[in-house]
Amino acid sequence: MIQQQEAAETLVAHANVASGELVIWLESSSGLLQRNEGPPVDEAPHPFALSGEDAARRLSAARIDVGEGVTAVAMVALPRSDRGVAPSAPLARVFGRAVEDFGEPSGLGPVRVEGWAPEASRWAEALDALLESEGAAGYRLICAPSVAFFARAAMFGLHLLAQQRFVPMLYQDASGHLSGAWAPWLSDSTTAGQVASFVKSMPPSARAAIDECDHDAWRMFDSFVSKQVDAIGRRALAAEDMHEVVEDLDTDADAQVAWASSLLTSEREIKAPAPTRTEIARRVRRWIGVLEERGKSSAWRLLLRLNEPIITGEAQADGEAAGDASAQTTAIDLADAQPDAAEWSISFHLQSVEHEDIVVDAADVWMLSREAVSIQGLSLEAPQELLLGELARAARVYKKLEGVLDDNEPIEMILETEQAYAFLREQRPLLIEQGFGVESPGWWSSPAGRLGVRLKIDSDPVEAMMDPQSGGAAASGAQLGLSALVGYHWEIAIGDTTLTLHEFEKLASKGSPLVRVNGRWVEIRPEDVQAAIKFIGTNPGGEMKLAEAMRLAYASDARETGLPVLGLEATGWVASIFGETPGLSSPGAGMGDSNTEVPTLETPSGFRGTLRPYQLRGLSWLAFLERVGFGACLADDMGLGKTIQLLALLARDRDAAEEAGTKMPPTLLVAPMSVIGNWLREAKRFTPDLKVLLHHGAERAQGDELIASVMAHDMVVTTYALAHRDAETLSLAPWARVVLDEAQFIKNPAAKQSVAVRSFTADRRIALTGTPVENRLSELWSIMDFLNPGYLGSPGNFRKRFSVPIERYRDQHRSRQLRGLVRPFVLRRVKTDPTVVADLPEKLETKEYTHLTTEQAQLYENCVKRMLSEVEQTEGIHRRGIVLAALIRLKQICNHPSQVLGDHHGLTGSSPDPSRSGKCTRLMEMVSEVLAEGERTLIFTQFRQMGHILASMLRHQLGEEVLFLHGGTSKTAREQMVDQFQDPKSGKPILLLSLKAGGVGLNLTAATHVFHFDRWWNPAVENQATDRAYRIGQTRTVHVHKFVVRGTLEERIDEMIESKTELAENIIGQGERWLTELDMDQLKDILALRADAIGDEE
Amino acid sequence: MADQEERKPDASANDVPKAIDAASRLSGDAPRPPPERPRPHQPYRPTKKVPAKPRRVRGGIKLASKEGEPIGDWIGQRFLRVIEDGVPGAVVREGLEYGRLGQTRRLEFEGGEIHASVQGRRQRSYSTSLALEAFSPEDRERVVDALAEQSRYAAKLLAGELPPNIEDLFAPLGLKLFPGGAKEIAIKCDCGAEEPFCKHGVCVAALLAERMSTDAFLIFALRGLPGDLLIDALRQKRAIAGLGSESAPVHLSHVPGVSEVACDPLEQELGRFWTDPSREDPEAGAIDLGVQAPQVSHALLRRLGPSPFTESRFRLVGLLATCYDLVSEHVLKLHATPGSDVIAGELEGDVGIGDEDDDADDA
Repeated sequence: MIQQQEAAETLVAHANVASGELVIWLESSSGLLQRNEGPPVDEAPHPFALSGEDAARRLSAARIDVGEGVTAVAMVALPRSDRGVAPSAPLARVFGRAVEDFGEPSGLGPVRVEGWAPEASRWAEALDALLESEGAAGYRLICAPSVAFFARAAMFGLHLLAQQRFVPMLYQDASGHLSGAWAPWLSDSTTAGQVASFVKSMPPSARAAIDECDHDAWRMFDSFVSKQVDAIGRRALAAEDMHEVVEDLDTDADAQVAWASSLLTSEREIKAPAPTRTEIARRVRRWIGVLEERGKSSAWRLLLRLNEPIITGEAQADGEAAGDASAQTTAIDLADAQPDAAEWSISFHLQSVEHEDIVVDAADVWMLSREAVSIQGLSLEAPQELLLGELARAARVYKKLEGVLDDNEPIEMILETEQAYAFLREQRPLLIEQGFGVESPGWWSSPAGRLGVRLKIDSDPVEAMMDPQSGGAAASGAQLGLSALVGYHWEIAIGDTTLTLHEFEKLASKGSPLVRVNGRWVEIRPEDVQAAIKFIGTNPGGEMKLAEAMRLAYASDARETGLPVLGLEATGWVASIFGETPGLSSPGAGMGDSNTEVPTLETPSGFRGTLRPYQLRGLSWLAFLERVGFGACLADDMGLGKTIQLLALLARDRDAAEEAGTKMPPTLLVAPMSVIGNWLREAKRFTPDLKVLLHHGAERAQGDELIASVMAHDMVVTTYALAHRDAETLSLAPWARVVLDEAQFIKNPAAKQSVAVRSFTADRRIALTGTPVENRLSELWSIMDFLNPGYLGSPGNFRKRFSVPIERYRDQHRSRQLRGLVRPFVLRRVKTDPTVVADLPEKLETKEYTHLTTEQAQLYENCVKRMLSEVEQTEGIHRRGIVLAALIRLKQICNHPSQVLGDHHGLTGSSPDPSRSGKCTRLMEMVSEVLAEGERTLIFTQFRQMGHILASMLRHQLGEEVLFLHGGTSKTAREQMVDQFQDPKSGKPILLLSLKAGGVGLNLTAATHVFHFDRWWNPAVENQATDRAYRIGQTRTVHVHKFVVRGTLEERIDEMIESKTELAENIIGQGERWLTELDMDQLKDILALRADAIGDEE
Repeated sequence: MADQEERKPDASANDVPKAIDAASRLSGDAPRPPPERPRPHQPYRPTKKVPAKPRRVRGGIKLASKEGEPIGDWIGQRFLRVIEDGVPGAVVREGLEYGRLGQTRRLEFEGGEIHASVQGRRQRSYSTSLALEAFSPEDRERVVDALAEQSRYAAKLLAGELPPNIEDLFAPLGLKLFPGGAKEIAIKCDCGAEEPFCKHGVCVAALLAERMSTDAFLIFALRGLPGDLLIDALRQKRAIAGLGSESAPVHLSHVPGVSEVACDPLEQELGRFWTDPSREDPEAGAIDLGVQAPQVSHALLRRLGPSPFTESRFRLVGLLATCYDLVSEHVLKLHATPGSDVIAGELEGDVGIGDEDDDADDA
């Protein structure tokens, strides 16, 4: 194992910006293994980072275009201990370690690093390429948080450039020399907010570089973006030969030319005598300063309010009605609504900067005293002077205001419709940026006032679809689903109002950018009019596949249609899938429990148990989607009972089959080995009539025998591994349905298992997963492609269109599009949903039944055998000792073989392999789900050693920081851990505790999940531990998971406790002593391994 | 009832230290305490004898120093000295007495001035304001230049401390940081006293003096140079000085919420050194990084207005407009957020809905 680790070198990429230069340097796992420990030396080369040349070479080997591989050196401040420079946390995690394991860092020290230094105009591409190659073949490359941070910062730089948010700037050095540069403009309030967020979320390691920025996050960010913006600005202008503009001009004679030349040519410096330089600097400083100029008062500012023309003879109620959905079909009244000479006005006011609702009208200002007055408790000095000053200031941006400055006491300005439109579209944003208040009518910039096209789909009513008479659940599915042909046509719409082409043309013929429709003003961009007419003309409607319709409605842009696509409106069963308010008009809608349109079913009679209301809705939703031919993904939070909902669906099948007097066709359930035990148990408990076949183990049926056996059962349960291995036979069976549990197992679409499960033919497909799939896009693609093949296109296109923009740049628009596409097929309820939370208890307790691996089973059986033979020959205290020792050993074996074999050691040894233990495998899966939900968890174990093993595994497998609190933890360290765990910003969502050390006194309410990895057999002790999270201050449901290994003493004792017998009383009262009193037969019975305990994945 | 009426101003009085502190540190948009509730109308009463002692104010702002003790540290004493020297002793004594009794209901720094409301003997409290002459923009630049040049001043100021010999720096510039005499303090009070400096003014000045000792930037703020601007400017100047051959922008922009906020020293982050705070910060995820064309073109240029070089005939603004377009187009061409062309192609091509997707298997 250890050799293996050494062979596969892991590199951790870091990015630091030192004095305006980006240095990408690599830490190497092999380097860490070979380093010599010893006190660190200031400014010595990093002991296990690669040299600059090696770094460039490795990156090049990872198919990153390093150009000429220019390298640079930077000095960075890194954590170090008396044993030397500490590895970064990502590198330590490769070995399942925390940084502290390599020596508790006592401080930061200067370290020399070397790396690739891409040219500033290519930073975005370089950092992108790094993120892209993370996890690429050959060797492992991990990107440290600094890489992701600067990649996003570089993207922000590009955003600013594209948006023209930069200014020509002048730089000055200590001796007064001047040079020109393009600089990002960050001071406007929106941009400043974004910058603040960047600076606040800057990883400490990203500001490690030692330079003039002094580790200051803002200065570091500023120097990065400034450098990038200038470099790209210059590159863009050079590409257009802009230097030719100033080539022949005399820079000495004209300061402007000198400045322009420094911005356009490679000669950045402005050569001029000192007094001239001072004058240039002064003027430029003033000029740029205008952008930040605010009025004389810091408390009051000018407010410009655009008022609609007063339209006489139009009932106000019309305007209200237009907002109703019911008004959609009413005829459009266009005739008299268009006033020929509409008079708009902009009225002037003074507005309190802090209390925006405190406003003084200009007319009142002219009547106020010239001195100070008090307005609602706020003092306003020289109001008249202030208003005039503000108007003059605004007139610099909005020239039209100059006219009113001649008035004696201006109160408003009259505008024609075109001018009002120009004000809204052009001047409004500028005035807001310049710090003025601008109030525009509510319809402006609201989706309800937008002109666009809407896709209209007609489908049969739901009732017809759900009618059992028309063929039962399975019969007609084929003509439905995404390949179903649906009637469609396009409509021109303004908000909720639909227009006919004729109406629209009439409206457009007015030639006015702002028109009134149904008593409401609407923006019609002149450029939209022709596009709309053309689009409707060339898209008369007809039939198309539903999948196409959905892509058009949710994932096409104005570029294709010439107009914004406002979404989709459907009738019939298609409408049920989209819920009541489909489309982009509700961007906030997530994949929540919004699919309430489907007919609600009763609990099937074959289901023994009570379904909570949301579970019944889940069942109804699954049944409906199957009915209309879609694959469905149930992605409820862990603990909400996905298993139960699926079993209820099967019970419903069985009910239907019984009614029809037939045998229900079989369902194939594919699940990871670690949850098979749970499935069997739950099926036995809730659907005892269901005939379940476990397809697993060496003795499993093959070929015709298997097919025959499948036909005789209702549900066949198998693992992903066997689904692949026996795919040939399994794909021959006539499955009614294929279900994937823990569907994230097929996240890699090219993996053999993923290919195998996709090859099974079944009309109905269901995926169950507890991870929020919308955040893990490759997983989402793979699951959707299983459910509804082809729907999201090829993986390559999907990646380009969605994964990269959303995952890397958090592109909200793409994210909404994807959500629109996927939402109908995913039902995800989280524990905090109001519709769910009411149905949930405050504490949810479940047992997780896991298995033993073959290795564990062998150890277990040997141990039992040896103990029994020893016990037979001894008596008294000695016998008791033997039993107790064996008992502990058995528990350890159930935990992980390493715990008894002790084959896990060494700081840089490999991290123990979770797949050697059923429990560990399951724990990794579950904790990963918990973290994906953004929640925090406690994990209790009795054994400190096991705690170390788990900490190592969690770090290595999940790449997370893990806190471990045990008996040897000092009081201060203990308090620190609790604080870190409770602090949502600490980035430490996992706290491992040894049961004894962590059982009392601590308040750990940040946790919503509690795992009992091994059992104490005393509910009181366990509850006390659980109550660390479930106590006063806890506002959410706490989910307690108790691990039990099937077929072992764990299960046997658990059953005894549950049975509440006299023996159970003993168990609870005395800890584990009672076991030592048992006679041989009882011991054998309790400890012997039952056949169903073992289950290897392969 | 009377009790309640008295209590309201108390609450706002307690907020005052915070308000001043914040006001002097934040930019021109100084946060203000919530507006005072309009007090109920006081019914007219026939003239009464004015009591000999001022009306008691519950929870008024009091001077911390006891009688006979100096007020504040050297800064406060330096400020008060000009009043003690230029105002009749009786007025000073009474003013300080008002200060110790806590006659001040409200004390705010706002719009470069101190506004206070002081309760005297009459029913109505007086509104009193103090101001110093603000430096002109040119003078502000000179002051910052001079401060930055002397790194010991700059360092002290950046650490939030006023160097005791600070006035040495102003004299050569022909400027004063502290007023040279009581006349240089502009006081307004509606008590109607004949003297330019009434006891209410002295009371407010004394409270101000005490505040100055805890907020070194207050005196600068009174001169029209709020602490954040000063620190921004100093940082920039110092950056230039520290750069050697490197340079800094001639206009250092103030980025609200960023440039005036102190950053925790890196050493403090030892325990979180390798963490990624953006993972825990939903705000960070919401930043729009889309590379798209601007809604309004040349927005900044339009706000900047005509070129600063009025005498030149070279058309700088026109040239810059072209530059803005070229740069924006260049970036859009290379990096525009992936467009719909990708899936548009798919709509034509591989709408093999219901068929197996070969692509995935080959991957």
